[in-house]
Amino acid sequence: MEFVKSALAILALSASQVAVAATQGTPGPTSTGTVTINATITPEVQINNLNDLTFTATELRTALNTGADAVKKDVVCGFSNNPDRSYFVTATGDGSGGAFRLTDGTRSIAYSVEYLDGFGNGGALTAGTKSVAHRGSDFNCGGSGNAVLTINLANSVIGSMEATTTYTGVLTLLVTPT
Amino acid sequence: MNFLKLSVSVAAISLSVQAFAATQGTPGPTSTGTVTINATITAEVNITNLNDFTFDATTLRTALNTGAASSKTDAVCVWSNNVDGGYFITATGNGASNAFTLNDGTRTLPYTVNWTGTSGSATALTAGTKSAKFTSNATAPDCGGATTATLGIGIANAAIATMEATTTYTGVLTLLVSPT
Repeated sequence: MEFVKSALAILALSASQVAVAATQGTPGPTSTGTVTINATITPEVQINNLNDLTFTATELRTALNTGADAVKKDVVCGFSNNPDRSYFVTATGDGSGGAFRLTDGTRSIAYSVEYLDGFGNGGALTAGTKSVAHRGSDFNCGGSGNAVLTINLANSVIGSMEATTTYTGVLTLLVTPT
Repeated sequence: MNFLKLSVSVAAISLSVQAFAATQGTPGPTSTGTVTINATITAEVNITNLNDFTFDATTLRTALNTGAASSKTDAVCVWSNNVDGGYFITATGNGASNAFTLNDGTRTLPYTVNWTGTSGSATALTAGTKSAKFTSNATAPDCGGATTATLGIGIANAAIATMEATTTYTGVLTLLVSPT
């Protein structure tokens, strides 16, 4: 019962505080009232402008023949409303244990992932591990991007690929404000 | 001299007009007199039943995530003793040049204001500019405990997207009601 009384007292106090904040007009040749408007928002993040990446047979043949890795980049948009615009990326592949792997249903190959924001923060990502802090910019990046996602197929991996099949994988990028 | 005579005559006529308004009794078994009672009032208005607005984090997060604007309304009481119940609203924010903006001490956030009278649809208000005429059907300064108008506050989705977390944006909106 005492708890209920206390709760009611708190509610009454809150109500009276709200009532005090807005001021009411009084009858007269003019009448003026005021209201206070408050707005807050939780930490919010977004990643968009993502595109699928395809390593074509020609590109991989060239890489294999030149001894180079095959690299694909995609400019993406990372947004955070934290005051310092910070956000973190946790990338997981759909390989075993979230590994970064492509598979053709029978065989699998490894790939590596890098994430670098426009302020130079970032680098290689470890599957399932939260990244260092990145910095974003405006919501939707004004229609463009502010970070680069890089997928790398090592030359040695390309050398292990078999022909006449397609290796596929899904990379999930989880962005968090903390 | 002629001017003085004219002035005295006008004054005498005025006094006689007033004297005619009240009728005097005459001696008799009963005596009856009458007085005329006049009452006038200037144009008066009143605005009450105002409440603060709070756009909470959940509301704004939902708006941000759905691409929608966020809006809130408050039913208020406006009374006017004009014959047609007419009145005008001049709304001013406490932003620069009375702009409708909220502030967290560093950053500003614009908002919009609209008003709906007893009848009709919502009309956007411009900061510091007297509105078109609204009407109220209130018959008492306190609207008899009812409400006769609706104040609406909106925050555009694009504005919400510029808000920063872990801070509170606040503003004061002043509503001046005038009968003309």
